[in-house]
Amino acid sequence: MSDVTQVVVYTLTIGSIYGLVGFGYSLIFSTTRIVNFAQGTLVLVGGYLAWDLYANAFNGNAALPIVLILVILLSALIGLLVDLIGVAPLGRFDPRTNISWLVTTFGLGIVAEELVRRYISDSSQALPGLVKSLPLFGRSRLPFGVAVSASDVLLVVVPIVVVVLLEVVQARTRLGRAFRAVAQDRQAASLMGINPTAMVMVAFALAGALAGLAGILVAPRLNVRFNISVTLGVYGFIAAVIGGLGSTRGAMIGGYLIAFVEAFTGVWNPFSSGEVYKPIAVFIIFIAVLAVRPSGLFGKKIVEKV
Amino acid sequence: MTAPGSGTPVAGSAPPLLSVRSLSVRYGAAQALRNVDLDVYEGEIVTVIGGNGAGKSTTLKTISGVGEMLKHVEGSITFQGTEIRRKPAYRIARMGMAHVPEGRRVFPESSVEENLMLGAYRRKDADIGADLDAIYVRFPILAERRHQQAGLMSGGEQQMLAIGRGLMAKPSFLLLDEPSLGLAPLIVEQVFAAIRRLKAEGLTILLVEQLATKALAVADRAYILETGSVVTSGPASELARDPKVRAAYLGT
Repeated sequence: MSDVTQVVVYTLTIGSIYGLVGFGYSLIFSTTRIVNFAQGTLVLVGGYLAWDLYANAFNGNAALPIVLILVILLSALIGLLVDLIGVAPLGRFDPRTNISWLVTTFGLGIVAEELVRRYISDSSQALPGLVKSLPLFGRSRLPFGVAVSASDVLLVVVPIVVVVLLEVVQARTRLGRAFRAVAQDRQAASLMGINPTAMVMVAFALAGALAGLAGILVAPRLNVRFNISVTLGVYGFIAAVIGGLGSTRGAMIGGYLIAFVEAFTGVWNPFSSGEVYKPIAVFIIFIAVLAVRPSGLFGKKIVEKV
Repeated sequence: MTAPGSGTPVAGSAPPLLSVRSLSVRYGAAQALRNVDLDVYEGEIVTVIGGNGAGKSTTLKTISGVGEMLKHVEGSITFQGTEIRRKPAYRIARMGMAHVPEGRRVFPESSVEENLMLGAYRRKDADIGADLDAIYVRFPILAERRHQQAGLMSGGEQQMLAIGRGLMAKPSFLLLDEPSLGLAPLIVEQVFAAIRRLKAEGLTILLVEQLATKALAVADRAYILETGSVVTSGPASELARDPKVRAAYLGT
């Protein structure tokens, strides 16, 4: 693969996963104004759940799409538990001054990770791709000598489809309208008869489902392993902040941007090994974007209400 | 003039639509309301007037169930015969109480029409489309701006939208919190004209207002709040003539 195609493929595949994880942060932030620091761990939990179901519970006999559906449902439930155990009991609080949520979400992430280590597996595991080949991509080589696997194609396409789908749901359905109302003004929404607590639960469950999906999609490429909770958790968060917390498209574009920066640094830099410089480059861009646009590329200016 | 809380019922002997008894509200150590009694009967406009920080908005927010941090509430609030003090705002809204909050609080990123449709969120009947048209007839400016982002409109337009959004709930009881706040005199006239029209249509309204003269002119009965307590109440026309009230609140 040439350098250019390598950068393009990395940007599109890994970038969309960062975006998908970032979208989860965004959903929760827009309804609660808190950052769910368990989000990265939920990706890991999703991956291990998928591996455990596939390799142990079904002995490799189940079709992966069935595993996928089960994992998404379980992940939604786990996301909901983060809210019910870690956030809802904090009661009515101002997330700007009362930051207990920081400890509870982060702590629940650690608990979930250790539960996986204890009850599922403590080592890296391989999960086969969801599909062996796609009709259009039967040949593994595209023009320009680009090698693309079917799971790479899914990695690019599925997050985009999911994000577009959720945007349509937000724009067109009664639930979506209620969700956006809560995101804009929680108190005014409750005066319309909308239950804000229920919308927050929906956000946490959706974010959990997205994390689980990300865990499965990324497994064929990165394997199921423990350090993805940090990598995807932190980079997903950066993607969401760069794009503007609360903005759907912003998270995706933020994801592509930092994946591009990573790939670019890995290929074109004057030093011998690019690996070391990738995170440095990402954080430089992160800080640069925030210096110019403090609320992110697509974020709205936060107006303090008097 | 009658004692606080014992305003004359307008609608004969029917029980009040809203009845507030010995309502006290504290924010931490600060006492915002003290033993407030207040009744609203079907079909009347009741106004709560008073100076800054007298507890007018707190009264409305406590009635409609808007939860605020550190808020501690005692006493009883019954609406349509049901105790609602412990109910969350969204449940009270679903009972048919529409609160048009202070500062309008329209959904700024949504269009005018989306805001109005959110007002009808609790409804499932088939008349929503017709009611939307009726709102556009009532407030023609909203029809002109129907696809515009609500946050980009002027204060007066936003106030009309906030009232329209409240009406879309097809409420049996409307709470209006400072609808004239920050508006130019001409726009204030329009807002009060809208309130008079709603009164003529028989809607029950509880109006909190700093412009006491205007509020007393449109209301049937009034309560005057001072540092969290009801100091005077009675028919609005009587209060408007009362020399003490005139001196304190009407600037004459």
